[in-house]
Amino acid sequence: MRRLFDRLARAVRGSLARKLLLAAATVQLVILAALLVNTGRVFDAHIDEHSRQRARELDPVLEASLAPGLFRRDFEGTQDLLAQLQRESAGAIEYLVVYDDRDRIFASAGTVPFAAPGPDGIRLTGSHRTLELTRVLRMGPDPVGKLRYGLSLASIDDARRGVLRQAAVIAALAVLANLAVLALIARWLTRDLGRLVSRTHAVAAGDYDVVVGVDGDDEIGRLARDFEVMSVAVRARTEQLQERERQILALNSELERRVASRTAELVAANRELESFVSSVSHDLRSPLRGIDGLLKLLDEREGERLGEGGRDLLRRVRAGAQRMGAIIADLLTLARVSRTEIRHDVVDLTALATSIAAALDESDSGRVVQWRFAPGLAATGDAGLLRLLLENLLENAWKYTRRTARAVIEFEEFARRDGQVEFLVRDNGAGFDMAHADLLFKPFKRLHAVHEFEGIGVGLATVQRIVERHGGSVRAQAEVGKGASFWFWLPAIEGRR
Amino acid sequence: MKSDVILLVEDNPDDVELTIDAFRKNRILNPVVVARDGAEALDYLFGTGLHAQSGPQPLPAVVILDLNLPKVSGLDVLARIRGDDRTRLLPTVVLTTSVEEGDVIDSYKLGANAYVQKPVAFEDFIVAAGRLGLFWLLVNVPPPAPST
Repeated sequence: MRRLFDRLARAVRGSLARKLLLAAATVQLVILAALLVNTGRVFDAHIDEHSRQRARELDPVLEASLAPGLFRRDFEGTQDLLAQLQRESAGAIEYLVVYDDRDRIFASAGTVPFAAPGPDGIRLTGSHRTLELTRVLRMGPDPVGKLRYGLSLASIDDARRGVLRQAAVIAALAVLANLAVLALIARWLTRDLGRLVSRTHAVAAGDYDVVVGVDGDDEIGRLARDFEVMSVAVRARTEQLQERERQILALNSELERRVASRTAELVAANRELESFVSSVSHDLRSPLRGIDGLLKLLDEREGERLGEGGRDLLRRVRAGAQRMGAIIADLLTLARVSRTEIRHDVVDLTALATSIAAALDESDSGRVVQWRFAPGLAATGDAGLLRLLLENLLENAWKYTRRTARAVIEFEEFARRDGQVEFLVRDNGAGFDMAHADLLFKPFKRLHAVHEFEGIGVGLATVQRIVERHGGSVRAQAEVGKGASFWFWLPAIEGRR
Repeated sequence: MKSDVILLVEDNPDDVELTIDAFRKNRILNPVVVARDGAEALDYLFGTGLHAQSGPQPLPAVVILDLNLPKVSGLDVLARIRGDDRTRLLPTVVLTTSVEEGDVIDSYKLGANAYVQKPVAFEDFIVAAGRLGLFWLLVNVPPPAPST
């Protein structure tokens, strides 16, 4: 049963026509079944009435003929009479039983079902039904016994069966005819729908020249016309979109072309600038070396004649030349930072800082600085540039703690975020006034007089350039006399967040 | 043939004077021959041009070569020195103002024995030139002279 249902469900799925047919057949079958049942019921009621009518006709005859024999205790006469009655009824009376006044069987005919006399009713015997009736036999007003007899309903049952059979056949024919008509209608309906479906696929595949070819004023016809209108609209919209796309692509390629040419211009300009910087610095350094060296020779060879004032002037000119040389060197470094191709190494910053600190300690053995470097500091970046970065920051800290009694310079990790690490370099040196903090990272801007702390003011600009080239940012916080702190972001080592 | 001459290839007279002074201050008393440009240096080494009459000079003990030279550049001179069997092994040191990474790499690629940058401050220059001369003239064992 379940399998049948599954099969039916499978057959019906995906086809409107089959669903329609199944529903129609089901409805019709239910109606016909109800009709059949009702017919049987009406028939039965009618037969029942008919049989009782018959019994009412028989009752007086039977009573009149049997009561005297019973009264006289004429067994044989009664027996014969019963047999005759049964015979003459031509099968209508199946059996007859006469009981005496104490309900004992007095005489009988036919095949009597074994039962005591009871109320009237229909009894099923063998293949057919029997209407069993019980009547009290009287002589005058006095009961002398009972008669129980069975009226056969066999012929009526046959007739009933025949009627039901015919009704079933007619019902089946009606269902088939109906299904046939419905199938035709469904086919006609779904043929148009099928056409609509195939056209829809065509439109979906991009073929907008579609005529559905379904006429008529019914829903499908209207649907088909609406569909055609819709596909025209879709086509117009699609063409608009394609046109827009073409325009956007054209704009894009134009933009790319312009970006490319602008980039090429920038690259060329950059290259020019680079070669300019390098040649200028080269060209500046040669005469500077000449000035410095020749003044030195002058001092050596003619110093006696110049006198102390003249030699002091010579020294000051030479100091200027050497300072200019340092500026050019720093400028070259800054320029190199800006154009170096960044490598992405894993850089051990703690080791780097330690070696820089050792070099600084060695450069001035008279100073004692307490270096506090957190262990295991590391970042991803260009090893050369990161060394330059730490050199600048640590040398700054070293420089500005020169007048601090217990100089402490720290280097540690400060924060982590989105694959970046923020580091902190802190000293307890001279610090600076935050009012001028905006000048801090600008080249050649100094917050201290040269006679206080030497330097030309390119170091922090270099620091900022290096950090920015690694995609990070740098900030500073300080207080005069309390020290300075520098924070900078660098890419973390991959896989360690 | 081999001499104890230092061939200084340098176009800037100031640098020539300072370099020689630096050698003298470091007690490097070898004769110094100065070539004012690359062509002159090549003429001296290979006995061409000005030196065509006198033939090739004895090879110097060391060539000190500036890169930024008129006519034939320092790198070209270096290439010629390394390209000729007679001078292939000649100790050649680049002494220049340039700190361009490209110049350093090119010099070593072409076979320079050392690359020394000229410092601006004269005291530093004396130290650098002195070390240079001391190393190449006294410490370094030169290649044996070609048998021809």
